[in-house]
Amino acid sequence: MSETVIKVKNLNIAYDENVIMHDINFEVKKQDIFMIMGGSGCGKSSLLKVLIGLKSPAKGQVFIQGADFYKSSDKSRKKIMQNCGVLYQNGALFSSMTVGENIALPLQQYTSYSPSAIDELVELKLALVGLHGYKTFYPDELSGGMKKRAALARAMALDPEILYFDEPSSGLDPVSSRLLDELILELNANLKTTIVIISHDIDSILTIGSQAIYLDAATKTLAAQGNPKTWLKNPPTSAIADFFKRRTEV
Amino acid sequence: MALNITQHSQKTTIELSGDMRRFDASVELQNLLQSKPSPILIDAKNLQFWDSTTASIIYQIMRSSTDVKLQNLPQGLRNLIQLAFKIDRKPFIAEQKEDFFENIGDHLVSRWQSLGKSCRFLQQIFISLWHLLRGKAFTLSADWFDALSQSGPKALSIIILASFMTGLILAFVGSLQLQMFGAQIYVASLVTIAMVRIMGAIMTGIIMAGRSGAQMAAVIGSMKVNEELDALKTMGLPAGDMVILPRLIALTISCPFLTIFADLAGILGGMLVAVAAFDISAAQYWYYVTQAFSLRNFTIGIIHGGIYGFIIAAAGCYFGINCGRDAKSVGEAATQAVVSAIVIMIVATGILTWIIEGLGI
Repeated sequence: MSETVIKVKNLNIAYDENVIMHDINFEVKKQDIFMIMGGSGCGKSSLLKVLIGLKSPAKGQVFIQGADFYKSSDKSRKKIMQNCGVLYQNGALFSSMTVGENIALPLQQYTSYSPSAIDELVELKLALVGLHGYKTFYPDELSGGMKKRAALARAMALDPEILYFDEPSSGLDPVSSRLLDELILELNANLKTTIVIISHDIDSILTIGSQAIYLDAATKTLAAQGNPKTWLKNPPTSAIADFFKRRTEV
Repeated sequence: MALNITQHSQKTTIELSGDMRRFDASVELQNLLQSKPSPILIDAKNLQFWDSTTASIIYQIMRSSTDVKLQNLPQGLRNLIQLAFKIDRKPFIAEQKEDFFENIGDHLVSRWQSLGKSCRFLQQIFISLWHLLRGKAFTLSADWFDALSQSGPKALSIIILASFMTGLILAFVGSLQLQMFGAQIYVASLVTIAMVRIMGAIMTGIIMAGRSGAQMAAVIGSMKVNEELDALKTMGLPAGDMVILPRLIALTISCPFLTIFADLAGILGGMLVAVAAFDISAAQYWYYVTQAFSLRNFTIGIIHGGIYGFIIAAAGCYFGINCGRDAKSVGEAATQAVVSAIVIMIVATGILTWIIEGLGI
């Protein structure tokens, strides 16, 4: 039985009085590639915001590596977040810095490595995402797919144990999307990283997802949890069946 | 945790052992790699824990030497190193120009190109104005309302405050000098002529450049970053009409009115100093104000205000439209809009003064 890395208990998410998700319960095990699925507007991104500390839950608890994230002090939360990397939908690279400086930033901030060691780590991270030689490029000199990979290199700069991805394949062509999926699998296998991905890219979900939850916009709660590959043949709900068949509700 | 380096004449062996997470080997590697050893054997028989610092050590060694053998490496670490060498696309790096004359030539060409860009922008403005005159301009009423309120009522309070303070300072400095000749009563004339003729317009121009000019550049720049301008173009809608016209007309109209308020505020600021510090009654002050006030100066001030409004809006729109596609560029566009507007305003003031005096208006 592998260890639980993230545990969400009775979570409610609300914007002012408007509760958009209620009674969410799930666990993410170590080295899972955990997919958060659901139609547009079901609250996937809001759930991610809660998981990465950008939005406080209206109710419930989020445990990350055993610690109650929202009951921890600011200092402890910062420490927990150093163990997490986030790849935002548009990369969110700092445009005034080169790609190398973007990746070096968390290393300079949170480690005591010498500048040459940081430089070498930046070289390695860039090489791992297939961007060797792009260290001195600015983000606006890169294509969409390259920006995503550079952002991934920054997200894994500190060797985080948990990596969150917000719709990694959005805006990518099928080949770049497949390459990113392969990269996620390699990182998961070799660095033993737990990966949480928000996605509605069915190919990606079926290729790399080991566990998944489906958020239902109609009931505003979690509709199912399990292995997404089994859902293709035996969908637990009609909404999931429609999701996989790409059908719209009538 | 350890990194043991054993150097023989024939071979260099690097042993990785223990817990090598967060291991900084920069000093050891620097010393080793300077001597360009070859062949190198990396043995990880006793390696217990590793992370990407360990991978980066191996990666650095393998990049600097062609003859490296890996032994007893954990499969994950070996895969990671293989992945690092699986470069899928090499960057194209433009050749750096070192030649002095080539650099000067490049600079001149880029200046010439930006001049061309400015001329095309002016042409775009006149085309949009022509559309407006013919009643065929494509604009949204919400944009007009927003542009007018941004460049009018919302800017009024700051302009009144700044001009009031300017009048106050002018009166104070002027009175001190005039007092030496017992002529401090003429401070009213001094403040009135200065504010009405040029200072009111200049204060309005500077404040509006910092406020509305920068805001226009930032808003239009953000529209470019969000591809809204591209969307307008691909929909076949005239971006010039929609984006430039409301802002340009609003600021060109509102600046003369703001100049009037600035004139009045400056004169009132002067009155405060005259009454409070130099024993001049309010009635006396107003008498000299009316004596010094001339319609000619007032008109010149108003014309300056209108021209400044045009310059500020044009600079704001120009730098917004030509902004890059990232957050840094939006900031740069806003700064360039303000700085350029103020510089052009100063040049325009010189030219206008020369024309007015030359023609004896």
